[in-house]
Parts: sequence; C-alpha cells; structure tokens
Amino acid sequence: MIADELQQQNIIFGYQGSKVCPLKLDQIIHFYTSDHYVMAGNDDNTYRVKQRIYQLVKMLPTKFIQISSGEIVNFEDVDHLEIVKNGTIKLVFNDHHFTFVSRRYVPKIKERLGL
Amino acid sequence: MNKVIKKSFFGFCIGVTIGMVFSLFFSKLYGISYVPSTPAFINHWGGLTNAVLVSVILWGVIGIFWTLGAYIYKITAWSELKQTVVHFFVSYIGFTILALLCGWFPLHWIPYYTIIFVITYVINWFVSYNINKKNINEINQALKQQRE
Repeated sequence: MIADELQQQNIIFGYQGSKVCPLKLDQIIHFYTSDHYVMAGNDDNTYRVKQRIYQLVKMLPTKFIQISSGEIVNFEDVDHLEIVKNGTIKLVFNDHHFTFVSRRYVPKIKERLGL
Repeated sequence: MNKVIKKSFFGFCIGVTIGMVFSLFFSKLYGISYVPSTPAFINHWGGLTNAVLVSVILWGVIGIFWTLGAYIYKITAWSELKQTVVHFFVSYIGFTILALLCGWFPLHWIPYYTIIFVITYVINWFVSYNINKKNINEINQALKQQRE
C-alpha cells in the first residue's frame, strides 16, 4: 500500500520531532541508517523515515541504488566513485560530500546502471 | 548464531571431503595402500584407524576455520587492506598449527611455506584491487553518459 502510494506520488513522509513533511524523492540524496533509525537526507535537512532499508530498496525508483547494508543513494546526485589506497571505495556526491561503498554491492550497482 | 553453526557444519563437510580427496590422491600417487598422512603420523596415533579418525577431525576443523575466517571480510567498518592483513595473520597462525598437526610438512619447511602464504595474499590483494578498479571505471563511465 505504501509502495503504491510512493510510486504514484513520488513522495515519502519524513519526520522531524513532531513535524511530518512530505518529501519529494527527486530531492532526496540518500537514505542511511543512523542510531537504528533510517534517515533521508537532502541538501539542507535530514528526516527520519518509517521504512527500513530493505523496504526502501523494494519501493524506490531505480535511480536509488543500495551501496552498503545501511545506505541507499540517489545516483542522479553522484559525481563519481574512486578507489582509495587501502582498497576502500569512496562515493563522491555532486556537492562534494562523500560516503563509502561496500565491495559486496558493486556488482548490484553495475547491474542497476545497465552494465 | 544459527547461521554460524550451519556455516561451521558446511565447512566441516568441505574440509573432510578435500582432505579425503588429497589423501587418496597421494596414496595413489605413491602406489601404497590408503594412508591419511605420513608414516610418522600414523605411528604417533598408534595405528591406521586412529590416524584416520584424527585426520578427519583435523580436516573438518580446517574447513570450519576457513569458513568462519571469511567473516573477517564481512566487517564492513574495516578497509579492504585491514581485512586482508587481519585475515592473513589469523589464517597464517591457525592454519600453520593445524597443517603441522596433520603432519603435512615438517617444521623446517616453514620458511618456504611462509613465502608461498605471503605470495598468495599479495596476488589476491592485487587481483581484487584491479577488479574493483575496473568496476569503478565502468560505473564512472556510465555516470558520465547519464549526465550527457
């Protein structure tokens, strides 16, 4: 039901304290777990969402790709990936913030990008 | 925990199978009746039956050891380098002791054994690093095309 709603309207509900905001998926840069909560982050704010990562993976549009067990990224906001000397894979966003990709998820990322 | 027990059982079976195949292979190679390890090993354990029993247990433990050791690569908070280095030391110490107990090689072969062990990890590191690099280049190309 929630999945249908999301697909139709392309929004997700974000919570900040007692405030509830409908968030446009296009404006969300990433979903990530923090302190047992799943957060949605855009340019200026972070919101708690009710869905778990595995639920989001199933319901989000294809441009959202899981990059580790605790993070889903909107690939329209990704500038590039790079490999750090110690073998870690770094993901750099268009706004120069960065995060890290689990190696296990690299084949899935390729698949999602049609490679 | 249940998963760990399942994995351990699986590792035990794989270890015993591989140990069996190799001991049969070497027995055949030397054209002798079946032995699980060296004559010294069989004497030490007081006969063939005991020697086979001990060998099967050791092979199983080796299987469990490698299966569970793979969990080091799942500690995602660690970099690939740290995972590889920690896995190297854990497996080097553990496997060396188990292999010596199995009577696979004498103590004075340790230097050669160590060199092979190190080379294996170095090759693994470079292969894995290059596969990663290739994948990342492909992903970056796709991202570039997406923007154009």
